[in-house]
Amino acid sequence: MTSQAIIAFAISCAALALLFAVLLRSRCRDAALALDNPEFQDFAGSLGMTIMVIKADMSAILYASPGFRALFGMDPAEASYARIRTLVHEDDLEALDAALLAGRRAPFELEFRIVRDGEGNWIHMRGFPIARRKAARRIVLWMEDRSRRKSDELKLAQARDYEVAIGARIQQALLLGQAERDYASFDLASMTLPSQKIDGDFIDFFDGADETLDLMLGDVMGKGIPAALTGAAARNAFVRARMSLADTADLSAMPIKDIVGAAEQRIAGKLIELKTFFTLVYGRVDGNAGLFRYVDCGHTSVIHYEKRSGRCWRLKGANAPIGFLPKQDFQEYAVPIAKDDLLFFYSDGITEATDSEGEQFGEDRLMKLIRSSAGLSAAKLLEKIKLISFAYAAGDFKDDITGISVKINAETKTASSVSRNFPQSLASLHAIRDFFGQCIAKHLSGPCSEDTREALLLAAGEAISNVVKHNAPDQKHRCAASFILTDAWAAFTLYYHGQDYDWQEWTLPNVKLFQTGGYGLYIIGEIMDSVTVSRGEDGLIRLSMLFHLKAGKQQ
Amino acid sequence: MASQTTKGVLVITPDINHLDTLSAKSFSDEYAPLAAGASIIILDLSKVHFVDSTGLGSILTLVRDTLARGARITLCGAQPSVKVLFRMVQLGKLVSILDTLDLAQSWAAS
Repeated sequence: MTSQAIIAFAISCAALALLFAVLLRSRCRDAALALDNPEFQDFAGSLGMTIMVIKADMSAILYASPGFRALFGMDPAEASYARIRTLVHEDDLEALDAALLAGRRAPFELEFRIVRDGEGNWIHMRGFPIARRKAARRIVLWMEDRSRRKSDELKLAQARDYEVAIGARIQQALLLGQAERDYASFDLASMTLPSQKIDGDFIDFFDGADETLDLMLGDVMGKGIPAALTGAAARNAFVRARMSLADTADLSAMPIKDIVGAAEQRIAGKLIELKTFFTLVYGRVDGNAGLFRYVDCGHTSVIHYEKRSGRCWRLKGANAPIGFLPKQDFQEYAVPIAKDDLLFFYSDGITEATDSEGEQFGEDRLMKLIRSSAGLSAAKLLEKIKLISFAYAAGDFKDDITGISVKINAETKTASSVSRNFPQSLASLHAIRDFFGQCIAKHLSGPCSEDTREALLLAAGEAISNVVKHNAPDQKHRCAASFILTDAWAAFTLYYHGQDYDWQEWTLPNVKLFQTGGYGLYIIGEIMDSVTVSRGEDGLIRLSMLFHLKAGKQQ
Repeated sequence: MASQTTKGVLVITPDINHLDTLSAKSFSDEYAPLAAGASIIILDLSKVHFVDSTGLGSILTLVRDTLARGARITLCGAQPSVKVLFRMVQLGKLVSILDTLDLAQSWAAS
């Protein structure tokens, strides 16, 4: 609020207080309205607003301050509500009548237009009902000509619309890439809804060999042109890093963490210098191999709808946003995907969209929406999310809404896919371990050495032990163990109810210091190629451990 | 738990398939009184087919307590899965790990 506005507000309050004092006095005397009080008239005349007192049934104007003549262009003595109505813009008449009717019982506020000599003026009106003993109610009206302010607002809105339009064009041209082609093994769609200010969301797609697609979604800190320029530079850093790496290596076979690392080297120093950063998720979808790899740098989760479990899971990583550090040793994760699974990448504009009461749309609501819409195509899902989040926020997004949806069409060729349910308790420890032990013995004798098989069982055993030890026995729920094998990877998955905790932190405990605990996570992390713990809905957790048979950590 | 003392050497042979979260405490409760007075200990793991990180913790406690009072200890007979674990946590940097009981007895006699 400006100082002028504060002064105006204070004067208004004083005027109202005085007016009410006069009205109260007249009411006490039960006499004619004492609005001819010279003290009040002097004060009312000095205000930059007009005060009127009318009978509640609008049959008479009991008082009009000097500003009335300038506002309505008529003598107060000859004025009536019916005459005033003739000046009111026809589109605003209904609202004015309704407000005055309601104003008999409660204060109200509205804006309406009057038309005089072909020119429109915006009037801001406040009304306050005043009760009188043995008399009809009165309404005090307090009016102000806001035409100039309205005109300024209109110009500002036009300027903002212009900026939004320019911003949207900049984003389209510099920040938003498009997939180069369609893919048989998955269905792809993306969208961006610009907010009121230009933002720094950027996306891009990189076609790879054998139906693979690399895609990324980033979100630059802050807003406006600086964020957009940073987003454009970030996107450019990835394009240039990929071009440079492609000279010497097959990018489709390269771990995506190396691509992210190469791009980081091109831009992190500049970001640190500029004191800015961006969050990012870089993913590789391989529908035929049934695998989704990702590097998460502090971005919002990727939502994975898994048809097999009928659930949505939040895929998160442990890397810092780019620009936080000069160089990171990026962690890459991989989770199995199968036909009819969905992956949804999004910016926080969706989950942070707020309704009229300030409640955010939120990740839980988004997951429920995706799960209930899992039968839709990628494009239709995106459209539904756009419409529902738009309606939720009544179209008033504070951030850009950016999303990419991927729906898997290909059947993954699995050599084995088995799952079994167990009571979620310590007593199931050996049974679950035996289940994985049998899967390993039956299916991995060919592709893995004996030491590797033993190591895999050890890692699976540690994971099971962690789950049943660190989560209270759950009589209501069961936990499920699943084993999936393809010619490229083996996945060991546990679904359970419990607490979420950090599975990413594993360092070798110092055996020389006789450290007797803390080996479990280290063992799992050392043996498996990827370990992801994903939170689902209603307290469900999915622990997914993946081992690459060809290029994995064979013992 | 089987144990035998021959020529001042205590040989502990846990007769359990799994040394893990479920059995580690009872293992520790049993070996501690046995080991307390021995100057040379051989922990023969030939009957243990699986050790997890909790079981490893109980072995480390035995090794720590033994070395702390100036006694000697070696491990032997570890099954392949157990060897994988020991290798991974570099247990060999702390205590000698021998393939067979015979080798361990030779070590004890040296």
